[in-house]
Amino acid sequence: MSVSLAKKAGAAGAVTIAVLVGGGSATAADEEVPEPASFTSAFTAAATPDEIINPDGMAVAGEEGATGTFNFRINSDEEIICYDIMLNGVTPPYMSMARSATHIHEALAGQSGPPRVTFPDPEDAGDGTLRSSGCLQGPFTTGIEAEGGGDTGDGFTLKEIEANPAEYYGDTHTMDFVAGAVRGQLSQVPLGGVPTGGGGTAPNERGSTNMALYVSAGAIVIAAAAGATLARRRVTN
Amino acid sequence: MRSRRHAGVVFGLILAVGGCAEAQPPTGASSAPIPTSEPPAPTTAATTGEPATTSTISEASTPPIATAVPAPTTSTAAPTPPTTPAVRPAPIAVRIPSIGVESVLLEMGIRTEDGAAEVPEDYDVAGWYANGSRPGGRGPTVLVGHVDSTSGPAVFYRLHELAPGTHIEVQLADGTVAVYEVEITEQFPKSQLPIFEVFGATERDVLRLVTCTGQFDYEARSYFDNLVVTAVRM
Repeated sequence: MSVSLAKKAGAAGAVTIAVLVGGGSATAADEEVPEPASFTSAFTAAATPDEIINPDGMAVAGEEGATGTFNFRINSDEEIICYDIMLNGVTPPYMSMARSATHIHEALAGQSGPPRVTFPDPEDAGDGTLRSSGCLQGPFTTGIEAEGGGDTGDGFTLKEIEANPAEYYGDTHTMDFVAGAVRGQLSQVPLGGVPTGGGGTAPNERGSTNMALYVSAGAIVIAAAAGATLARRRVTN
Repeated sequence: MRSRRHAGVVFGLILAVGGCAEAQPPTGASSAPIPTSEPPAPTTAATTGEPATTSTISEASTPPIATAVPAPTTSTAAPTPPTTPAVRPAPIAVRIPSIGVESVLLEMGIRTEDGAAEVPEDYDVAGWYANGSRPGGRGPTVLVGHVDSTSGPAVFYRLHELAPGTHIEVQLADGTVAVYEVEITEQFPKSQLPIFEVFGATERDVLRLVTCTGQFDYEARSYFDNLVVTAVRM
């Protein structure tokens, strides 16, 4: 996992190395793990430069034209969070006092709050975007000292996100936009398919096996989900 | 022959069973004829959680006409508040002239029993996934609706007919109308629905309509697949 601890050019003195702050438990947690078999919840955030609030509670501009998509799947029983973070138009280098510069913070829209989970900073995906994905298992530490001591990740569990996702936001911090280049509050996403309809008379029931049924000219054809049902033609009674 | 749905027992069972609306056949159906042009009762069913008493499917399968446009009220499973800025008006009705769809939108959340998207109890009414984005936001505005019931076609029965370029009108709570143009229609197995492709944040102001399709599982009384129409804001 990359740790971004860029020093501001010309800053007097050294920036305190984050891993030495907050109790020295930084290496015991935040473990990269394989994806779990199932999830208890999922969330997405559309990060923009218009929602940045600095630590003093003031609205400041993020990186103009930049966007970010933060997708999370959580298994709160196993304290695992799988992340898929994509940034478009965000200009490195990253900069943060935390273990990395890409976080989930706790605060409502329009407010600033401490980071609770840190993620590897997105890297060049080869298509002009930055991307970072994987799964982490808590307990989580951020490397940021909490008020009163300890780490801002201390005591935090993923069930808290599930209880109120609107109280959490994803963001990333860069040298040019220390308060945040892009930020977006989390919103919940359903798991699995949508249960609509039960009469058995829908036309496709007797017909097409095509996955992308209609595509407009110029639109990218999105391939069907892996393992699509072409082979699964159930014999009906 | 279409028989009138006995909503009382039927809807109670649908709510309890879940899945892709495993509709029980009407019990003790009276042979009252189905009115051909009666608009359905206003959204009392889903708003209060009680079974609709007069919801019927017309023979001509014309969708319900949204006469008044009431502000949508939350259904029994209250959705968590949307995180998009409150300044954006919520979508309250949808109209697709080319396939005769016209419906108010009920606010939907997530079902506690399985974490799946909540869908309206009323087969004739569409829902808006209220945890997600709204028109104007950087995320999909997702509408859900049944494709059919044991009584016949439901609100999104003809969704599969939507060709690219077709217009969809979404009425907003501030009285304005957001128009979207269909871009692509896709079919995904429900068990492998790519949830972020359907519900995840997007770069553009996008509308998605979701219903069921594909092979019908007669034992489970549900479809295997979801049909997802994506439309882009004009």
